[in-house]
Formats: sequence, structure tokens, C-alpha cells
Amino acid sequence: MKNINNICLVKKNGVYEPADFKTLPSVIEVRKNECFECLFIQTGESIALKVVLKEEGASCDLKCVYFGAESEQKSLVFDVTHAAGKTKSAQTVKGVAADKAKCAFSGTIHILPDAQKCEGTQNHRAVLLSDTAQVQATPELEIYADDVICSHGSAVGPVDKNQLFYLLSRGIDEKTAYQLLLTAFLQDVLPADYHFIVREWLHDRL
Amino acid sequence: MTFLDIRNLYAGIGEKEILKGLSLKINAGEVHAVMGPNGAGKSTLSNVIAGNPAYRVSQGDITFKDKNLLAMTPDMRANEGVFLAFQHPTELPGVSTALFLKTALNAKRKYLGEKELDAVQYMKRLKLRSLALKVTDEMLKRPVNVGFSGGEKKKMETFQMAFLEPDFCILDEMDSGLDVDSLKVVADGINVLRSNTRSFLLITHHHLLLDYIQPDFVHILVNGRIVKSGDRSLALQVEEKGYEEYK
Repeated sequence: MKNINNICLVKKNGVYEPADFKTLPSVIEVRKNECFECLFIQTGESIALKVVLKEEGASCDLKCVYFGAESEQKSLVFDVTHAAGKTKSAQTVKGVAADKAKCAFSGTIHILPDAQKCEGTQNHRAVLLSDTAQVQATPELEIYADDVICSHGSAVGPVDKNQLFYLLSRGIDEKTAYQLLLTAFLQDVLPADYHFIVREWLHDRL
Repeated sequence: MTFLDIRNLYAGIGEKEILKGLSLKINAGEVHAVMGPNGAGKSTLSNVIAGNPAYRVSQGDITFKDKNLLAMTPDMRANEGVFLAFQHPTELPGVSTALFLKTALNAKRKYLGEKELDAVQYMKRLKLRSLALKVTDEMLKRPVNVGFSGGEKKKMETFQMAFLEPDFCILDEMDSGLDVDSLKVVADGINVLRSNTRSFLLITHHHLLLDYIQPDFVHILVNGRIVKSGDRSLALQVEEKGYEEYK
């Protein structure tokens, strides 16, 4: 499953629909009371997305699941600007890095001076499948308004050895065990229709 | 037929040697109990047999049905018929118990060259086994061991054992953290699995479990070696006098 293209999904009427990333505007502007929701499944090249919440009540929900393997080097950049008050943003990123992959996530939340009563959250978690894989997370919060709620968190670590052994001890082979654990790890972000990606991505690994 | 044959086993974690020349032979249909004080190497023994990579074997052999067990990966050992009921069963958030059981069962069937069970056969088997061990539908829907009480975890281990039908079962401190009622449910669940083609290794530090599951042989493990073997009466002697005389 080498060099597979990224999958880009944009929510319309409550349902994620495939979209062509290249046809999205370079800066996504979200208007009054609108919500931009997207999900990337990043098996391929780097992604950078810039969103500006232009008017009151605008919101965005950005999600990404990234996979890095072999000697891949890739980055994910989410850049959200709260340009108006009472706007909301959420960034949820989960990643898996194997072999000698180097993955980087950079997430920015700008809150402009007049954008009071905004909410911005950012959450990043990644699993390393080898000692040589690397994940770097860079959260950047630039906040110029004083009445806002912002949070960010990041955690990177290996697969839990006890969990892996528990599965193996029940006769489940290593590849399937990883598949179960990674699918469980990713499932709050990755829709069930796309769980097959985990299996296919792992097929060439381990 | 000899199931498990451990000869002069030295094993430990990292640099630390915990088992120091342990030998043990278990034939088909036999129930053996290994008793010992804290730190004697009881959990190391069960983990080494199951193939936990956190443990290192430095010397000795283990064969299972005449096959070299130490050369096998943990999943191969399981599919050959070795089952470890964990002292502290691991929680698997996000992995449903039903999917876990199905994956484990089909892995074994595939290994043995049997056809995978279809949904109807699978549900039938699940129902049959869960009823006996008082495992509820609600427990099967939850992620593996997540939010289970100590008693529920041990019931689930026993249930998995009944469901997967292994030939050789290691029960690592099955009685720890169980109240008398739960212990009875678990012991009943184990006793119905006793047969002349299945053997058990009960690892415990006191005799209570052995009142419910009566072993054919009792071994005293102290400081990494089996220092005395006998029948059930040995467990009662330990109950009276402790392990002091063996140290």
C-alpha cells in the first residue's frame, strides 16, 4: 500500500463525503453560524489546511488520522484563525508511525484581539510501532483575546506490550493483534467504513 | 501422553534470574498445583510457558506434546493448546469482547486447518459457554475486561478458557481477588472442563483454591526451584506450617 493517496472527506448534511483536496480553497473561510467539518486519512503526502472563522457563530471540526512507514517524512499542518467572537474550533489528530518514518503535526490556534468568547481545542495522540519511528507535535496557541477557552494535549508512545501479549496469548497472530489494537486506538476518529485502511496499511508492515 | 515437560529451566527478567533449575512434567488429564511464597517464581513460570517476551530463558528446555515450546511464538503456543488465565487480565479499550473471542477462535481453527465458524455456530457456542459461567450478554458487548470487577475478570478468563477449549490450562493465582461465591463459580467452570485429555497447572499461594479444584499433584516452589512434590496432603501441610521449612 505504498504511496497511496490521502483520503479527504468533507461533511455535508451530517455525512462525510469524499472531496478532492486540491479543489478546496487555499484558505477556507467559514461564515456566520456555518460549520466546516473535514476528516483526512493521511496515508500519502503532507497536508496543510488553513481555516478562518470569519463571523460570529462560525465553527470548524478538523480531524486527521495519519500513517507513516518506511522512510516516509510527512507533515500535517492545521492552522485555525478565530477572527470573530463566539467561534469554535476543534482539532483531533491521531497517528501511527512505523519503521523509520518521521511524522510531524503542527496545530495552530490564533485568536484575534476582538474574538471574545471563543473556544479552541486541539488533541493529538500517536502510536509508534518501532524504536526508529518519530513523531513530533508542535502545538501553537496565539491568543490575543482575554475571554476565551482553549486547550491542547499531545501524547506519543509505543503499543502497550501487555495488551499485545494478551492478544497473542489467545492465539491471535501479531499482525491481527496490531490491527485490533490500532483500530481500537483510531476508532473515535476513523469511521467504521474506513477501518479496512488499518488492515491494508499493516499488510506490508511487521 | 506427556503434555508439558520442563527440564532444568533457568529464566528471569532482564539480568535477574528467577527460576533456577526448575523441572516439571505434566501428563494428559493431570491437575498439578504449584504453591509457593511471594517471589518464588510462580508468575515467571506461567509467563515463560505462555511465551511472554518480557521474560528471558537462559537455560533448559520446555516441550509440549514433544514439540519444542520455546521455539514457538506466543500465538503458536496458544494454538497448540496452551492457555494462560492471567493473574491480572489486561484491559483492551475499544476491542469488543465478542470480536476478540471470535478472532481468537478462528485463529485457532485456521491454525488447525479447520473451517472458520459461521455466525450461527459461533453464537451457539458463545451462549452455551457463557450461561454456565454466568457471563452476561452485557459483559460480551463491553470492551475486553474494561470496567470489569476483579471477579468478573476472573470469570471472563475462565469463560475464554471454556470457549477456546485448550488442552493445557495454566491458572495463575485464579483465587486472588475473588470472594468465596465467585471462587465457587470459577472453580465449577474449571471442574467441568476436567477430562483425561486436558491438563491443568494451578498456580497459587494458598490452599483455598485447592479445596475447590482438587489436584492430583502438589509441588512446592521456593527460590526458583521445586523443592518438594507430593499429593494433596502436601497443600495441607503448607497450610499448617507455612513455607519456612523449605526456605
